[in-house]
Amino acid sequence: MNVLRYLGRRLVFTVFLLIGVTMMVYIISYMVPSDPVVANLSARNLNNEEMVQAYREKWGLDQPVYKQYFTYLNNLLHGDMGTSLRTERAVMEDLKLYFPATLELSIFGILFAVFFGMLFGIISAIKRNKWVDQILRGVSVLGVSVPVFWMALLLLFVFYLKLGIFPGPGRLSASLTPPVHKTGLYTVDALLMGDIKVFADAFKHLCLPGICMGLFTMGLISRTSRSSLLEVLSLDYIRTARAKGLRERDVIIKHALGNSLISVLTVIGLGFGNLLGGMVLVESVFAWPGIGQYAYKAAQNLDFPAIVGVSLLIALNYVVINIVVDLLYCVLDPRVRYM
Amino acid sequence: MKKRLLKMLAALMSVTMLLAGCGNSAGTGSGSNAGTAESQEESGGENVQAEETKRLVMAVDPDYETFDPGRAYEVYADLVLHSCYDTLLQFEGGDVQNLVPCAAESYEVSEDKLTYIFQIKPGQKFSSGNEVTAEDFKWSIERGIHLEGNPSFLADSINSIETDGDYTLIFHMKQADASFLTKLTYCMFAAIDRKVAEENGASAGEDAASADTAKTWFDYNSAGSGPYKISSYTPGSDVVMVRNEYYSGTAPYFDEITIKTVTDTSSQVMTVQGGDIDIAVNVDVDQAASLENAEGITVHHAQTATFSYLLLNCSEEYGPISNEKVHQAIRYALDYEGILSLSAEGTTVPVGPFPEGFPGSLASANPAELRDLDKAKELLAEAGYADGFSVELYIPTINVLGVDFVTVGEKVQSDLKEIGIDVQIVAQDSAVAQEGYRTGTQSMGLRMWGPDYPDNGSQLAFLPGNVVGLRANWAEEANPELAELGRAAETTVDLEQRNKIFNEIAEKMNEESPFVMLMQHATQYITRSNITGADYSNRYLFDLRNIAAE
Repeated sequence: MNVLRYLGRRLVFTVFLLIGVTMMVYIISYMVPSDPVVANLSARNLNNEEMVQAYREKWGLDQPVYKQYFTYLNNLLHGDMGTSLRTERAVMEDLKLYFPATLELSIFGILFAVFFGMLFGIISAIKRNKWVDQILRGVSVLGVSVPVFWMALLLLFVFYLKLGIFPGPGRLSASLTPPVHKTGLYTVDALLMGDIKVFADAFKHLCLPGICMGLFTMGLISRTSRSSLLEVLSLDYIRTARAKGLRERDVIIKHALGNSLISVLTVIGLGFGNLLGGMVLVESVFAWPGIGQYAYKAAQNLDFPAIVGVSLLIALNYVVINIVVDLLYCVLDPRVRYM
Repeated sequence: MKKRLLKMLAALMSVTMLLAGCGNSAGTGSGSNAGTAESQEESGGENVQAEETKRLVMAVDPDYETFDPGRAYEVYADLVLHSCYDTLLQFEGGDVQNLVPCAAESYEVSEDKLTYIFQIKPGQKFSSGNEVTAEDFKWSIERGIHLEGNPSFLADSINSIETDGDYTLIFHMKQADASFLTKLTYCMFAAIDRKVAEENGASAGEDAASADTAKTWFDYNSAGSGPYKISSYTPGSDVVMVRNEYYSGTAPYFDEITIKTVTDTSSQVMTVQGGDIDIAVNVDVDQAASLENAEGITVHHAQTATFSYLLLNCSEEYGPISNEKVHQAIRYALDYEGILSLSAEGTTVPVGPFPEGFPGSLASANPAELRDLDKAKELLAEAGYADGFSVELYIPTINVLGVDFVTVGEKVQSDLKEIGIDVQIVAQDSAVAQEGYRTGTQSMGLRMWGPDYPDNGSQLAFLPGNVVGLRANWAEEANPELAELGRAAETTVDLEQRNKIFNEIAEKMNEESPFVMLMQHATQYITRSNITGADYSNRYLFDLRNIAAE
């Protein structure tokens, strides 16, 4: 019951959050010292006042900002996120086109980050201050501190160009036809079609950009899980468990690990939210048609409907992730349910 | 404990090996896609073995937003549109001086240059199998006009269009337009399969701007009579074209062309080195230099028609910078050799706003002879500013064909300091800088310009009272002689006479205008060495119909 009440509260909060996001973007759009008409009409047409006026009318830019905002909100309530000034497609359609690519990459990235981050964190905690710990901590620091575009180019150079282990940029080899769009996730769609060749190719293409995207979060998870596990391992009940003669493996896996996961879960949630926002530089180097590139182009063209759409999507991602993380807290720590 | 550690490390290694094992040698310099025996692997979304396919793969950082021929007016869109849609006339390969027939077999121009009659080749077919008729051309061009999109200005000089039978198309002009035949190479003037287009929401009526709903359809499909048709388009990823099996002209070499979106220049280069891409278009100067002797790769250099210039505001509101003698002083004060060193090999200084390579343009100036600091100081003193003055230079934070604009601005700043002009740089986002340019409120601006079409008629925008002239508040009254010469150039159809007028304008503009031409940019791109016919075109970027592989 508590959980249901909690969910209800979060949903109400979400509505206000999304309204806040739309309002912020509109206020910023009003403050930007530029004009979307200039960014989207050709130089010739800009000289034609009739063309300029027609363009403003077409996109509602001749209206005061508050009117534009309320029109947008009204449309949003009816499920219409507006039309992109740049692509002239419905923003919802554009998001459906670009977001699955980012989602697929983010899932790969977060799985990579969680697996290796946790593994490194646990090993580091067990081997505290030994050489293994020093090396793994070094790897974590590298993951957090190395500029992502540099890492992207390095991975591409070494593993694609020199070693030939992974394929080059893009989601699929040029010789293959993308699977029929069902979810937009090539690996999933290929499996749904039963096309193993496309699945394998799409999976290979995920590896380098996925690793690149996941490295930063991996570093954070590794460091957090190490410190969290060390903290738990120093608690009295662990000492008691050891005093009872339990094997070290059981002490760590059965007694310590679960309790150390709460802070790690927060990092995983934030990391996943960050990945879902798209990483322009990684997407650029790996020619990945994701939401980051879409948002970048939208910002370049002052395409406000698209910018609001992406902002809403990112905000919604964080809300959903936070709710899931909160629910997982309840599973990991029963005390949370009674708070 | 050591055993457990070893187990963990083994697990780690296993996962790494698993990931590595997923890879193959797709990108290990296995050679070009072009001309090699690859399997055609498509069938209704499923990938199955089929016939051998000759496939060209390009990497570009594109600007296209639509493939609707009535709406598209971006540089990269022409890569696709020129391959899918036949126009009446066209340029071939990298040549932009000689027009050759495409869908038309012949044309006549009336003596007063107000009527153009085109005979269309019979028997040409769209990718649907429908025959191409004069009516299709008429409908398509009227659609482009009534859509009022970015390319619609190209048809401003047309009064009306009529057909005579199935294969005769007649244009009646409002006034003589010396650039008209060049403009006809644009896809707004291409034949669209009317039947197919109308089935998908297209309209050519006067209310087409609101009634036409075919843009989305055109973004993912094509309805032209060119050698290719759009097979698929994934925004942000790639566009794939396959042969139009009904094409009646000379069949192009490649069965399929994939144009991949790769925004990062280093990635473009690596994929050519890796053999996955045949042509990389956006290559930096340094990258090209490092590949000059690379095996299997050819580095190409070409001159574009894009140029960068300084805009000096003529309105007295902006102080000393509005003075004509100050304009001349600035022209003499700049170190053009130094400015050119910031750009790619082959960059030149154009005379007037007319790019070298266009009919009627003068040969580029010798940068070593352009600087004369004493004369610059003398002119500044004559203008009454012997002690110099301070002025703001507005710069969009962009990179034009490998040249960083802020760096160019800093070079201008340091050059002008030598004659006492204190330049304050105001670097702005390009959209913000564009606003100041459009409203004519920049005291001094660093700008770039790409011609609307490959004809000097497009450059007349720089004359007093015209579009760009007015951005510098250079009204017609400020130089009626130049304005008159411009009008004469617009309507003079005799090539020799027209070229003479352009020459005269160029020389005058070099002395009397508020525009200081800094550089006509060169560019560089790379191809796999077996690729032929990949000549840079100032009209289509590349004429994909002519590219082949050895």
